[in-house]
Amino acid sequence: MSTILEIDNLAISFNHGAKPVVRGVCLRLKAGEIVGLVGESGSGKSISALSLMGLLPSSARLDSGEFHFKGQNLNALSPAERRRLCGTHLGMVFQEPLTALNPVLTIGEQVAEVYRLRAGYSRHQAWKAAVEMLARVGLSNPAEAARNYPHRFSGGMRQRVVIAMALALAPEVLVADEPTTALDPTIAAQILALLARLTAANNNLEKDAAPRASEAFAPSSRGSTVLFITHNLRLLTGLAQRVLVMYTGLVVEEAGVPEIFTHPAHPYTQGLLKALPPALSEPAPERLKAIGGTPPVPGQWPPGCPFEPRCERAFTPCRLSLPPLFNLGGGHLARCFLYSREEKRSGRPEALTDQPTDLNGAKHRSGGE
Amino acid sequence: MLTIENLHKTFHPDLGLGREISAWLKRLSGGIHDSGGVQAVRGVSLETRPGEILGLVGESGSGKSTLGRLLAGLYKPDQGRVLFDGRDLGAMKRKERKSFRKRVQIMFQDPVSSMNPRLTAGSMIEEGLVIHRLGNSTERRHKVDRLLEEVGLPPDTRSRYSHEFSGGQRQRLSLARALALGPEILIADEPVSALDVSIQAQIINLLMDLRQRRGLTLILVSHDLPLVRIMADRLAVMYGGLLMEVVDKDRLWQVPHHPYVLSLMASADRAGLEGGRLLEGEPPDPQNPPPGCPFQPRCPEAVVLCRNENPPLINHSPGFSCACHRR
Repeated sequence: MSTILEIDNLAISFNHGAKPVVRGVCLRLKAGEIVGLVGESGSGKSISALSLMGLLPSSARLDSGEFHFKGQNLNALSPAERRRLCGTHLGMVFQEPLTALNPVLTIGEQVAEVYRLRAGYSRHQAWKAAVEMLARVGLSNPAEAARNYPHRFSGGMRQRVVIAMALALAPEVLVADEPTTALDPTIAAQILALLARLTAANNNLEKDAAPRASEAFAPSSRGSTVLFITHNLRLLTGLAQRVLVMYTGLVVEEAGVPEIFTHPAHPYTQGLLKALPPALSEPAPERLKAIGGTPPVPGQWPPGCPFEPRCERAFTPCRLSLPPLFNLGGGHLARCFLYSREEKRSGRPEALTDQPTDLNGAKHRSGGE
Repeated sequence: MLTIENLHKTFHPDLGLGREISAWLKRLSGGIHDSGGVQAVRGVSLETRPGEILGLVGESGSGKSTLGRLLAGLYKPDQGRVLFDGRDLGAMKRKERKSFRKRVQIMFQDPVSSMNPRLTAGSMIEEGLVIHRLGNSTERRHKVDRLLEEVGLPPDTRSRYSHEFSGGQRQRLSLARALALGPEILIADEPVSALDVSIQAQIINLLMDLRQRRGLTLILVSHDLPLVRIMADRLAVMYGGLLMEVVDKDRLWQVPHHPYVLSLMASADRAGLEGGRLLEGEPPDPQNPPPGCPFQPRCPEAVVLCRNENPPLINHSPGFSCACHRR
């Protein structure tokens, strides 16, 4: 499958370069893939997505980074061309649906606007299309709903409206920035199912099990391509095919989805998985294993590995220089000196062999009991 | 020990005009402006067991936070009673209430808005000790140092202001403040929901350690079922202002759960996507709850009876109570 979107060496800073928040992120999306971008607050995941959409706040500066969409260099486009592309071929679902909606326009007007401005529909056609789209995202009585204002809707309904706007023109790439974080669990499950259904429906997706690690780079289906941003790694079970883990503005690990849960390579990823309460279908541990310390303040990164101060397995090189991404094979990359060849030869711990293959003493299962 | 009997709490939105003008308007308009109010808690009875961690689980609008605040004596119930060691909280005299406040403490979800930005961490922790006239200034200073150490904050943080703390540190600070008076019962309202994953586990473990060391009874209010499952000895699940189920943790896999609890479990495990019980619809409007069981409009097992009659919470077996006509 061909690469549809490519981000190369993305670097973003605040305060005119004094506060770097994204430090050389590379990302490739193959057509039809669902890729997870995971990180805590301040890891640079959301700002990376905003820069792709050309929505960086004025206080932020794009230091470097090339965006290629279907071979087209986005940096070379004029702002107007870029904007046109971003509404039509690249869609985005924002975390906080209330701030993403205009409080003084009815939701029908807001969804119809997409069709009028981007697809050249007449007012009447656009309204009809908007109502149809609202029905597709599962609003009961869409004709009535279209005439209402955003404040009349619950959080879950608002998120459905935002999804309707993002998917109205069937974009080839959808960026979903924490689309379920503000929602209650039963509603979040609805929204995830909706996203999975709609992105699959854009091309008839055969609902396949997640691919095995060896095929991690071969997407299993031809649905639309999704970049799913979340702070919750577990959310990606059975949803994404590939995950990038970010910490302090860097990608620290990249792996296929079963692989990242069964063989997490970077100590940060390993720590995250142990710190998360396990799914209900897995046995409950006596206590969670916390990662000690706190992430460094954004922009004030240590010279070596940014995770070194919190890492239980840190050794001398970690303090001295930033590790590159080491290739572990099968599309699995980790930014950790434990995987450097020289270190291995000098008798350093062979990390992959003593990885915890099971988490919290239980074999990982995705899904039900 | 806290016992609550048939607790009700309804909030009347005051149209932003203050209580008196709203009441006057309401009289004037003959009740047109009276929406009936937001019925947050609609008849809940529950008893804490000494030394347990009781998980109060529910989605937003379920009434779990209101119930937590009622338990802490921060709201006056409209109906029903809160009993502390057999004494009715509503009938307590000033002095007795003061001692109740010392023995039952609450920590809030949002540590930013629950802290005075003009007080240092030290004076914030000390405030309760001053009000309750515990110790002289030297003793209080030592006590503050001990508390800071207990929650894992360095001693030099005592002179810092709340905005100088990170999210996790702020939650530690609010824990130190709640523990200052040596409470027997601690109510924690969503203590980790605002924190990053890697910090969450630190605070959870700290709470568990403190409970062990101090023999605290902990009431944990949370929407996060997988988290509550790890911490709590007993789970009380709320929906639409009512208790749906109360279940001991060790009975979790042995009982026929309430249909809502089954759906909540499916959503938490994302089994909903794999053809599990994905709930349709939305939680009920607390201003206008449905007739009968609050879960009935979304329940896959609902029958006519569910629409007509609200099922009472019945003790089915040791460690399992459930409010459902179908169980």
